[in-house]
Amino acid sequence: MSSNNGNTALLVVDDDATIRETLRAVLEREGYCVETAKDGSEAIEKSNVKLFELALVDMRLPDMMGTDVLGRLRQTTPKMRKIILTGYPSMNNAIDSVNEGADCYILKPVDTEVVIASIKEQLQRRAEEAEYSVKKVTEYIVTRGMELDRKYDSNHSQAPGPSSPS
Amino acid sequence: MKLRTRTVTIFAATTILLVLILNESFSSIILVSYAKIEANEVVQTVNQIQGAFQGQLSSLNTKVSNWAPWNDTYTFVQNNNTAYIADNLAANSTAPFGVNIMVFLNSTGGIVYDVGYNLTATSLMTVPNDFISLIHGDIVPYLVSNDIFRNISSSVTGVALIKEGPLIFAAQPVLTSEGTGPIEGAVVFAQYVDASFIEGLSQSLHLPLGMALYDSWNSSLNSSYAFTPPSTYVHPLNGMSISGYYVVSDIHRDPVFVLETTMPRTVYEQGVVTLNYLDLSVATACIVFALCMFFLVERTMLSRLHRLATEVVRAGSQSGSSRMVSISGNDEISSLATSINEMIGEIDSKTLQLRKSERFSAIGELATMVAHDLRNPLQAIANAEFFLKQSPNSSDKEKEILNIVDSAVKYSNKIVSDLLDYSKEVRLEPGFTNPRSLVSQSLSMVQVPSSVKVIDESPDKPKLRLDVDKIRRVFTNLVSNAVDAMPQGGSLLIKTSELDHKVAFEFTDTGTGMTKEVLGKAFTPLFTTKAKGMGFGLSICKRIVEAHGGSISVESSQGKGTTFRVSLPLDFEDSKGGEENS
Repeated sequence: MSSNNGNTALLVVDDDATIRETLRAVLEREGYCVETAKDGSEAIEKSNVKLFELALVDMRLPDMMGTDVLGRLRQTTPKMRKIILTGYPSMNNAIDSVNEGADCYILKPVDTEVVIASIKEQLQRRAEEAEYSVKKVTEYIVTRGMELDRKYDSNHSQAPGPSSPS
Repeated sequence: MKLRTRTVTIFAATTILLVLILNESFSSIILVSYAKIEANEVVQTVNQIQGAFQGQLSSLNTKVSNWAPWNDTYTFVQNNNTAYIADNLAANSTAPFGVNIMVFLNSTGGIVYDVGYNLTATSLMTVPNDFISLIHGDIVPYLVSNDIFRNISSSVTGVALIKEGPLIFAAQPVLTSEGTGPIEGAVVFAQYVDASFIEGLSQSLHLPLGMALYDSWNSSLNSSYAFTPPSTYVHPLNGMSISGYYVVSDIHRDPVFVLETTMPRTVYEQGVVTLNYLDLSVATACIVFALCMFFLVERTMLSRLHRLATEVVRAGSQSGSSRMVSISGNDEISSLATSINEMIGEIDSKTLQLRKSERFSAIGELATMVAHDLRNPLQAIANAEFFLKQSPNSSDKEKEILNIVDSAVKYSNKIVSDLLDYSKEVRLEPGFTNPRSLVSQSLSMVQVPSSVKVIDESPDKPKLRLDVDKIRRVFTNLVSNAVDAMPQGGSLLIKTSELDHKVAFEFTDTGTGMTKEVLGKAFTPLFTTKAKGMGFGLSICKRIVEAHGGSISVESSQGKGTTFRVSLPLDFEDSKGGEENS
């Protein structure tokens, strides 16, 4: 019930309205900003209008497979986390999911707590990734700056020649 | 029916063939020998004809001997006096009967006098020129070569052919009445071989006789199956009569004419009749034999096979105890009937089994569908319950109720999972373990109440290769069943024994036991005696054990307890996991 999730946008894709609505209720109370889609095309449409940090996609959708939806969702930076939910566990489904870029694969029916925990974990990873990339940029800038500094210094030290600083 | 037709055809064909072969060989043996006998008979007759003909020649010779040694003749060939001619050689004279030509020769072979007579010797006729030239050309040299003019006791007979027809002749030297020489000449008598000659011959032999000139006879004769050349021939004319021929040759040994007789073929006909009787009796015997064989085959085989076939058809259309084939006897056919009965029984029980399993698979499919469909609403209920429970202003009572919802959802989930588990194919993931660790791991998964005492006697050998998780699940199921069967407490004994590359685990409890009815359905899916649970436990256990190539069985007596026995191979064959490809 932390409100620090307020800016985090989630996309729930499931053809079953009861699941969509109950999940929305649970997740919104968790403080997320939740959008829902009833099928693959609606999900892709919504992802083009708004940026989502995480998508929770049912494997079986009326118009396409959940794994097909994954590849067609608009990419965000840092990468959007993707969770596949399925009531039909099979090795093929799992392999497809990973190949299509799923970060997590959850079997139905599940404890709601497991869903929440999974979402939290994935968002945590995303945050880490974001932090890592910020760190990397900072590091790059700092390193580059230092390099430039050094260059500048060495140029200066050579140019004046004999006249050394006092 | 087809078999019967074929049998009849084969029997008929064999019989006909047999009869034909026998007839053919009989006729070739019997008829040929009868024909030989007949030919011998004809040859004998021809010999008689030859004898009679020779008799005619010698009778002519006798007639000559009355004239040649006679003083009057002796004188006549010397001087050719007319008194002798008038006394002896005129028509109606003393000329011998049957002689057609008389020729008187002098000692140098010249003709002194010649005279001819007609058939009855009552009138004279001119001696044919042809005969005169025969005398000069052939007979005189023949007489000379036979010493007629030098030997007083010589005589000659022979056959010759002139234009007027064939004739016989005889000649002797002319002597005095005392039979002394010197030889003054020769007397030659000739007789035509004409109809009256043949008639006389025929009467003396009591045989029908005919005569033909050799040349015309030879050209009309196309085949003769028995003959002794050059004089005797036998030729069957047809089935009724046969001819014998005597060929007469002249003084130059050239055949001149043929004496012929025709006889009925009595011997041969007898042979034909005999053969016919023989053929008839052989045919009858063969047919009777064939009929006997056929009826034997019909009785012992065909009719029974036919009955068996109808019985099988009848049994196929009926059910219950009349669904049996019955054939009397104690042979291959009756044992075939027994085998068919066994097969029918087998088919019936398999059909029953198949129907049962079809029903179960239909239920299974339906159950899987229902289970899948239940997942979404269960998920929604779980979400809703979670939402309500987390609500800050829910009362304790509400939370308690929500906990009930929670456990109901969880239990529903378990049922769904069990259903899906059962509908799933068993996939084995082999690993290594031993009996002791397997049993102790399984025991640790079950909450055993303190009232139940567990005795585990499993050794840590042998090494086992099997799907550890699944077998552990089987054992867990058996242990929890045992515990459930002992609500008042008791003991559970787990024993392991190794035999013949298999290891058997026995789980013996001292619980309530099972009735026979329950025992029979113990491994049937959806059958349960518990208020909770779907009754998939034991049927899944059975599938898992059987996928390993093992077996599971149960013994139970009501009130005393139950023993489950699980037998597993030390190392299952991967192919027996059969359902691995899904």
